[in-house]
Amino acid sequence: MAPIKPVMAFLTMKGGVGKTTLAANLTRAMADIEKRKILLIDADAQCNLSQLFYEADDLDAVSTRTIYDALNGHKIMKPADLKRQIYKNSQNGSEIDFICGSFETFALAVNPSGLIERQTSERFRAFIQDAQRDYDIVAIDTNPSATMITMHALDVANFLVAPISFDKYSMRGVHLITSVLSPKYGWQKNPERVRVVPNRIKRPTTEAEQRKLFDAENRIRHAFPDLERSIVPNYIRQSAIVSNEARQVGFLADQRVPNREHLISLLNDFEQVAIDLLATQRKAFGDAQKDKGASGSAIQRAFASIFGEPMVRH
Amino acid sequence: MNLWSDISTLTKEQFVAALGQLEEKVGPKPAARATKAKSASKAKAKLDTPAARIVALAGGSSVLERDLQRNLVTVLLQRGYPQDDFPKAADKSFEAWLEELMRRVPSADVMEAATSLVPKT
Repeated sequence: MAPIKPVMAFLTMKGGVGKTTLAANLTRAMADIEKRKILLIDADAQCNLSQLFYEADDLDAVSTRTIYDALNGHKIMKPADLKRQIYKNSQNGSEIDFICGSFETFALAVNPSGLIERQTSERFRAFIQDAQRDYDIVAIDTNPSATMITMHALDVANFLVAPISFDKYSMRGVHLITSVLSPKYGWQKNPERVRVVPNRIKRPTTEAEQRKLFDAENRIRHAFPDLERSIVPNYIRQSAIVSNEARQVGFLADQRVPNREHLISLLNDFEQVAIDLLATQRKAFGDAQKDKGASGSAIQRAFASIFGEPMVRH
Repeated sequence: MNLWSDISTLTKEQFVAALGQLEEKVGPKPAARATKAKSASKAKAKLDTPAARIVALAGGSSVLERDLQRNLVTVLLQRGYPQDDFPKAADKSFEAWLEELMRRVPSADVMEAATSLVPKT
């Protein structure tokens, strides 16, 4: 049986928490850590991800091939028909291909008939299944509301990445997604399939501020115990580099900024979260045998190997 | 009075006066050098990483650190992480070991397991 490959949906119920920036730069960080062929899809009718990679004038030119064509084109489209390569790592061979978004997907979401909804759902599913054959990871940036295409993305996804800030409303949005939708999408109950990423967190400068931040994280953990194993303890820090005013087209790693040290620190934040994502996906989509917990003698052998001494039972 | 004078012949008053004259020649004593206040931004970020925060759970006790490390290994093995994912513990601090562990085992899982093992106060 072919291994299942991750289809990551980047989703929030609350806008402005940095979902699109996260989608772009986490996939880049993952590609830089380990060799991966990644397909990144802008499934948001606002096309924020597309605007992150292309200037307005260039966006018109690339809008001839968009995700809309996969959903509602006259011809059945495959990823190879619509993708554009936006990154290649010459050292490890990773590649990121991108499929542009389209404002026209909004038209599909407004008063869709049952027929259109079924048709676009089936087409999108087939499109993503094709993508899973060609790519190691498919990543989909969605719209922060329950639009038709967002629901299509959830229909095909098997992994969720949700940015939050350390406030209960932000976290409640994620809890809503996983609790309300998990009866339909059983995989969302699995903490290994959900990653909650603290994003735009103000960098503390004193130990007291750090402790306050850690307390805020713990309050969130205690308030949402079923998501505790999904909350990534590495934070993406708040940074002026990613503000709309300062933003340049392209990945953060390719930005030319005056404060290089600041950028490197931010890239390190993305790297640490990407490490967690890759490790989680190895566990979630890896060999079934590895999912069986070790017990008894296996633990004792592991213990002896790790600590160089036998395990002492109390 | 000069450098080679026999000050034992001076009265106390003469001695103090002579010292005053010397001070006038030398100049006022320089102010004590202000101690450099540790910059807040350069203060060691003790809780800046998940590994540091897990170590902090042990409250500085090496015994608690040892127990936490061992219990953490047991819990993660029971969750299905293979033995190969765990770095050897010898010759490295708990924090360094955690940093290495979290390159292979999801940091979210490690943090949750660690916090679940420490009694909540």
